Amino acid sequence: MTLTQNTASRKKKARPVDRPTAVWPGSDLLDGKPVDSLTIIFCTTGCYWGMGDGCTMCGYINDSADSPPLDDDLLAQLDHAAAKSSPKTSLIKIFTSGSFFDQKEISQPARKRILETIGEMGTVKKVVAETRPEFVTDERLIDTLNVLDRYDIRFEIAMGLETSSDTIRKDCINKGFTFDDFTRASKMAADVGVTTKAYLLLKPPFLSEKTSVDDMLSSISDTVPYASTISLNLCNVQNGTLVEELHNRKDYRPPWLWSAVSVLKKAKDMFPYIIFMSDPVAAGSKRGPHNCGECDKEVAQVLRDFSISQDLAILSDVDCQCYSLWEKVMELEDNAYGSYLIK
Amino acid sequence: MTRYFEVTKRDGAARMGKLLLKESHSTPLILEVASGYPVVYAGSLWRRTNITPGDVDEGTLVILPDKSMPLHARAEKVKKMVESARESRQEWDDWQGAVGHIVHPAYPDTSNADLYVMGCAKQMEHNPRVLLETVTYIRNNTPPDTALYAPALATPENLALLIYLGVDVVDDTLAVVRAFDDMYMMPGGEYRLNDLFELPCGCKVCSNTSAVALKEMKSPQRGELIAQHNKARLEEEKHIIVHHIRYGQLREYVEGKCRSVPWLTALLRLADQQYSYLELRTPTYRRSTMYTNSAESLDRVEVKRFADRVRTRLRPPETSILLLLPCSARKPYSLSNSHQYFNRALGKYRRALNEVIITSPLGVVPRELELVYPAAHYDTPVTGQWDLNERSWVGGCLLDYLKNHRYSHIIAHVDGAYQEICQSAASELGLDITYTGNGEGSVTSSQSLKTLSETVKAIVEGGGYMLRKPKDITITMLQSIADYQFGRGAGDLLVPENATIKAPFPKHQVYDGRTPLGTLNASTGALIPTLEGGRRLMELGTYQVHIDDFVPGSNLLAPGVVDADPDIRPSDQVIVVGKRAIGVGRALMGGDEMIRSSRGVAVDLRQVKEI
Repeated sequence: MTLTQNTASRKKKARPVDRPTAVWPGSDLLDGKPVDSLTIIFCTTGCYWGMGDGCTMCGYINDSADSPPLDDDLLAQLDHAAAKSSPKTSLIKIFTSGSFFDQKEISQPARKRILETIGEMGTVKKVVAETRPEFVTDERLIDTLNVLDRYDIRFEIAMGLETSSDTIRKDCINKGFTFDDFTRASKMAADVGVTTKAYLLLKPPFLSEKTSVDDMLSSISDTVPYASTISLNLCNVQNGTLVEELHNRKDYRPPWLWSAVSVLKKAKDMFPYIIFMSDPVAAGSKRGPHNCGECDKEVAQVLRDFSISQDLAILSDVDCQCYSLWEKVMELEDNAYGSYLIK
Repeated sequence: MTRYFEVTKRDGAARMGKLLLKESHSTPLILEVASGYPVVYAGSLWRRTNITPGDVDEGTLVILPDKSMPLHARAEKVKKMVESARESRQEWDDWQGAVGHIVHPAYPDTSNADLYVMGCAKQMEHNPRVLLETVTYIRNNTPPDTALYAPALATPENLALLIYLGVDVVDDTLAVVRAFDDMYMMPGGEYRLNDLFELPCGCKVCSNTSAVALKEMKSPQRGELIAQHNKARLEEEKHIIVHHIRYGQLREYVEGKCRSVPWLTALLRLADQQYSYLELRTPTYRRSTMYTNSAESLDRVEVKRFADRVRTRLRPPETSILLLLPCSARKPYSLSNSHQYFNRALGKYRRALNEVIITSPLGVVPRELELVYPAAHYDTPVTGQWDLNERSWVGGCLLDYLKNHRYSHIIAHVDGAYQEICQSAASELGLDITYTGNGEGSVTSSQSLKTLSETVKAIVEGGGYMLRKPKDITITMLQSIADYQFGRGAGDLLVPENATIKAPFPKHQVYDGRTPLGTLNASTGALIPTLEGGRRLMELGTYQVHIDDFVPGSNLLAPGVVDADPDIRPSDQVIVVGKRAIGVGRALMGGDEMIRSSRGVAVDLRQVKEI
């Protein structure tokens, strides 16, 4: 499905090219312990895939720059971001709303300077950068390690695999790559000591609640050999996406938070040595993952707490009267043949 | 073309039938989705593991694996998914059992199946246009002997409308899932449990608990109980609907049921506007009373069709004096007190008149047709107040009648709204009408009856108009009935001018010499032709069912039908014509359905002759 309205015709917010799209300090797990982290979303020319066909749920192309930032602009963005970091920042997560390894977004020299600047911060132990798998090459991995090794910083690539089912990725997400593309990139990274984080998408459009939960469980089993960390992304409604179009016409409902709880419970039980994360963006709103409205805040917090603690017991520690409604939705929604049952 | 579904009873688009699987299941059928029996979904093709042909008993109906899309998915995307689904489920190609296909409204693929499943039907709740379009599309484009399933849509409130439109199979999905959302369903609508102070139901569940106790209960127990209640209400509603189908009165029930929410009322109105879908399936004759209680009654097929046939099939009157009369509550009109008064007042002069009764909602009923369904069968609330729709509809019918037939004198023995309608038609056409009903208040007062009597006498005697023989009046009546039934010209063929009429009103029998040609069925007003009567009607070319080279028994089955007059409606008298046989009987399905069906009785034959 083409998202013509998604890219070319839509007006973007004017943004200064020397400021990152977003930056926030936070807390993340590193070697089993919560540490201070910094997340930077660089403002680049944007994801090449998103400028073309694009993915059905992704509106990050909205965050890209009007005019291509120069290398100096990107460095200025980093300086701006670093100013917001905690003095003890150990983990830095680099997003571009596209691919860190796409040289049209971040040139090779800029990439090198960014990594060096991070190294000079002195506290950082790990860098995670997002990229589509087609940009993962030996050359770029080694380039990166050449810089980071000097500072004794570990490196991880994060890829939006979304699902291990090529059919779902093609029919429902339009991601434009295959599971094999992902495993190739992951193996290539592993060969040089770079770990992989995989993002999986709970409830892309067109799937029933149960089908999407089951897809997550299968995807997790398939992905575990290739990723040390799996982030369960709960689909939300982003501006200018097909998902938004569907949602506005009552064709799409974001996942139930219970679905995320259920996936994480089973996954962590099956694969205790894998780190499972989930940050439910827009939880509790109509456009984000939600339950009945009563328990949303609490359940979303449980997901965040679990992501930090990896403690399975937390996930069983929450209940609401809407849980049995969710169970019925799981049981019956497949048989609505295309429609969701409860908003 | 199905071996697995047979329609056994029709009332308009609504049907009763049998889903012939391992066991026979009567439709309308409410599936228990969770049981997976007797209909099972093989699963979304986006699932890793699905039901395979080896997992299923051949006595189960399998809804083939699919990539279901939501309602507003673009047609090209749906098409892509339909095609890719077809490729991905080839393991089912050799499946011998009954099959269900999911049909998406944006790209309705209605290739061979026994059951058609309306994809994303849930989203058609509150969307009457799309719902109607989808149901009519599927029913019009699939064999009549396949079943239609609207999943995740039925509630006790909307079930009657769904079935009325032609849905055969529904399920308990909403009754269950909404129960866990604390929605308490009744035939008149659904209520939040929290808003209820008492439980307005005497079912097993509700008589053993109370609103307070239910509210205090925890889920899932609470949900289970409400689900049991909701399912019982749904099942009960189905039985009421089936009762109305059996007695040909589903329309009356639906006109009442659609009131609870605007979208259901809109659905009925849109279906009436669409007209041909319902008309094609609505019987011409019934024995049951037709209640015309609501505004929608004016638009029902029976009303429109009667007016249409009066306009297009009625033979010209044999006299040039028209007497317009008001309708009566008792039917046929001639047996009512008021019409008996009129008859007595008119005496022999009545035989010089052409009588036409003005009535809501039928418009105008020529006296000759007063026995014909629905003229002798309708009952309508009488208050003396006519609303604007009624006035304009009845006025339009009268206007058409007066335009089509020329008279030298028009007398109207009417008062009140009837008179206003006559006056407005007269002024529009520049006609003179003599009003005789303007006595003190009532058309049956001795004063107005006297006026009627004197006015008619003066006109008839003054103009030297001929008084017809009583027998000729009866012959004209039967000829008119035949024209109404088979088309203009049928009367001359089936009821010759010199026919002998036996038996008293209304059970007349028509003979040509000693040869019986037909009998008037007093309870429907249809002329039932004998074999000879049917043979004579063949010249007209209408209402014929052509069959293969065989001699049928007492039931003509649909597969034996080669061709059929598309004007045939259920209940019509038809002539069955084949190389080796000719017969007469009553159609059980419409002409179109006879041609497209491979199961079921097409014609209930009364007489067959080998030739």
